[in-house]
Amino acid sequence: MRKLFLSDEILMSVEKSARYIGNEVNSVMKDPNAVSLRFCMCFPDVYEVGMSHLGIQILYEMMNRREDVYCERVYSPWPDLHKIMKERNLPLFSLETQEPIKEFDMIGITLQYEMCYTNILQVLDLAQIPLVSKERTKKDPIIIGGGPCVYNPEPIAPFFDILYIGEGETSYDALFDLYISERNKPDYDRESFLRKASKIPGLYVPSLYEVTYKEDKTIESFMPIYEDVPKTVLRQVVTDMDVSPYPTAPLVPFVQAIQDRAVLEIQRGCIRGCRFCQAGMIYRPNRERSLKVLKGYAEKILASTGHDEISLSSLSSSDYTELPELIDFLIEACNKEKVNISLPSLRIDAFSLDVMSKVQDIKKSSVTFAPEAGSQRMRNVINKGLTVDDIMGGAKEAFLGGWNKVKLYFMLGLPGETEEDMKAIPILGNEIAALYYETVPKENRIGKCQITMSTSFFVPKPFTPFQWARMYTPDEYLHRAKVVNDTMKEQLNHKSLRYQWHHADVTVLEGVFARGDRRVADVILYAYEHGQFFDAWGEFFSMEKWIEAFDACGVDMDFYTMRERDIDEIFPWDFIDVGVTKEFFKREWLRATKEERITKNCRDACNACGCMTYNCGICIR
Amino acid sequence: MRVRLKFFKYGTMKYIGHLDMLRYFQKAFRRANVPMKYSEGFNPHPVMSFAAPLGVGITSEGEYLDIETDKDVDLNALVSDINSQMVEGCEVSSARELVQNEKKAMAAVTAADYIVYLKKESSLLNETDVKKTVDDFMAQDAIRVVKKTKKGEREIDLKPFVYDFKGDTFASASFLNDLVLDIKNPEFCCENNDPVFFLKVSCGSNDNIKPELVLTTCFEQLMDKENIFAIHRRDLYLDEYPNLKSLGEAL
Repeated sequence: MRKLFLSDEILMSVEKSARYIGNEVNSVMKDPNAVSLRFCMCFPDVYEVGMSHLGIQILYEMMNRREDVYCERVYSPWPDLHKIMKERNLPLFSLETQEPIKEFDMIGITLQYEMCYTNILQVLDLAQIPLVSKERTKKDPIIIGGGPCVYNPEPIAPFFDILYIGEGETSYDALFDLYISERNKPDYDRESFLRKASKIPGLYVPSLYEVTYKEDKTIESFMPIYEDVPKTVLRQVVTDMDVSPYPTAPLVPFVQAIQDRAVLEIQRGCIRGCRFCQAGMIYRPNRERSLKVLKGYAEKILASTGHDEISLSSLSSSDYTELPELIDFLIEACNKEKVNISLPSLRIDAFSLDVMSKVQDIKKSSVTFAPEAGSQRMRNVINKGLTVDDIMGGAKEAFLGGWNKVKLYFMLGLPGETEEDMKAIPILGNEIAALYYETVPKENRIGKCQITMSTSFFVPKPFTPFQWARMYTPDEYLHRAKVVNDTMKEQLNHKSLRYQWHHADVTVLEGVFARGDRRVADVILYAYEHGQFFDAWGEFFSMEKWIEAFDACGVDMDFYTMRERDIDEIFPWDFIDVGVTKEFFKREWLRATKEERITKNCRDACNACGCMTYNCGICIR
Repeated sequence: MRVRLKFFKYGTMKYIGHLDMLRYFQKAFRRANVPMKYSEGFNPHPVMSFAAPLGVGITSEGEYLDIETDKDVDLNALVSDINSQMVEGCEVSSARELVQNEKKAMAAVTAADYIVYLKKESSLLNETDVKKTVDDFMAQDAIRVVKKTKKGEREIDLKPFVYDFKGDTFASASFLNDLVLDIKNPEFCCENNDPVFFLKVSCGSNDNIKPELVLTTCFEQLMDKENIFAIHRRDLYLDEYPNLKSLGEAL
């Protein structure tokens, strides 16, 4: 019988103890004494969130294919268990072997959103590993970060020994081989291992770089401290999606995960080039997985997990070239096996409406548009190629097809946004509602139509054309939401409209973390040490505590959020080569703000963004 | 074809809640290619139901799950197919076909057997003659107790719902003899002289008696202690006491 790390007494006193026991279907059990390297993969949020993440499942599969490596998992203990572990000085343990992770060789922490930064420290703290890289010794594991937040790793750089820039499939083997050979040498030491690791493509070792600042607090220089350490770190990319590892027997949790379904990753990257979107830039070039491979994966995953639902994962799924064939295949296979298909948000047209009517209950479901901005001018600025005609045409077809619920997603606080642009959001909502009443005769209506508009506040991200943009104060954001809300109430069809907006405080903090530098790390450390973690959860987030932390550390939030950056400013993330060049981003920034001009998508024309160097995907098709 | 599965739940699986068990079995049936019958509609669900929910932390060697298949299956093959998809701590021990019009387990269940011992603080009963206290307790004409329900508190007489209650020590308890699973958890008090209890009580949607209620009524010194009882369900029954029949037994 497997022995659990936590006592029965503790497990019976915490919420959802099944989060901490492992034993899930398809979890990998190996003899830890029979491997050369023990790796612990961590998602620094609660189990149900972490278990929904595809990236970890891919790497878990890939690493465990190696006989000499054992990859286990750990997630953030919920605050109830956190408290008990601190009180009793219990070290954080892995789910598979239920052993303290401080005994492992490496810990990999995925960074999916900025608001999990304090949870990184929670995991290290509970694991009883020094929070800061420079305080770690030979006996401590190597702490590695990965995921989309590493495209500006500087606010968390001091906490990591290595940050892996790019897709995990490519460089872990080289890192493992290096570690295994170095670790067995009698004179092994961390520093020289890390220095050698810094030469593996995609690996950034923050302790090997030094930053100096100008008087105006911007960066003066960012340089490696040794000559043999690379000046830039190249983002890693999988070139052939059909041969890269994919989990065909993924873990099946007992506790219901947020995503309790089989997931097919149909492509990586996006052809669109929306200027606000980081994912659209840092996952270039667009690379599709072939239909044949996907069909095989779907069958294997459903058979090995017993999931009764399958979904597709990608950016802009409608752009997948063989989508009709894939969906036809899934509908046929899934109907036979009583498996539900959960569709990603597709571009609304005759094809997608037909598909939706086959797999969803029209009465209960809604159609979704993401115009992102209300006015055509603003949509040109952000390079969102969706026109009013596209939206109205799609909505009309949906109404004729029996739908009466429409969801619309927008952003507020985009560069150069005017009051007209804000007001355009509810005006568009009103026009769609009016279209419903024009299109659907009274006798065919089932009550009113329901147009739900949601706005989030725009956060400029590194490696996007908007990386130079300024942000606004929380009050200003809320004012903009009020403009939208007030204008909505003036609309003729206001009874058919609903409006939801986000919290403004979190937006500003996210903005600081997204484009912060190493000086922000002190603030994160201070906040954690004063009780902040699980900031992604509204009930634990406290802006007052964060303001206190910024004040205590003498770090000015406005420096990171309220400034429009000079075009030639050195950014904290400039040492990363993501393939897309800074020249391209500059071009796009000027095109957006000065010319308000659209740039074509990768399929229609190559815009020489720089990713051709990867020599794969859409670039070579 | 309607089939009743009997299964064990023990070890680390005791921390898996009732709804999670339902999803666990749904997925296991799919992996095992059990030809489940599905409900109609946009979200078809396999037709299946548990006899009586088992609380988190309780182990069992007498759990029941009724399923419906859309074609006839060989019961032995069914059990081994399902067991090939189980994880440690959960396994199917037998299956039987339900007779025509036989009530669903959930509606049929009337009684349950439990083995209970103390996880800790067994010293609370050091001064007590456990056997005699239990016998005296059962010799009363009525056992007045306040039962907490969803609707509030109400006073009931436990006596008609406690069919059997024995107290003994691990070394001499004969009611431990026919257990299939080893219930002694090394984490808890289970030395030879530690007390252990057997209970046959009313179970089901109407008069569901929790073993903790009987024990804390009999031994007031155990009242209001958190997480003190190790509970193991031994079996579930249908029909009226004293003519109880195991849910797993063919009618």
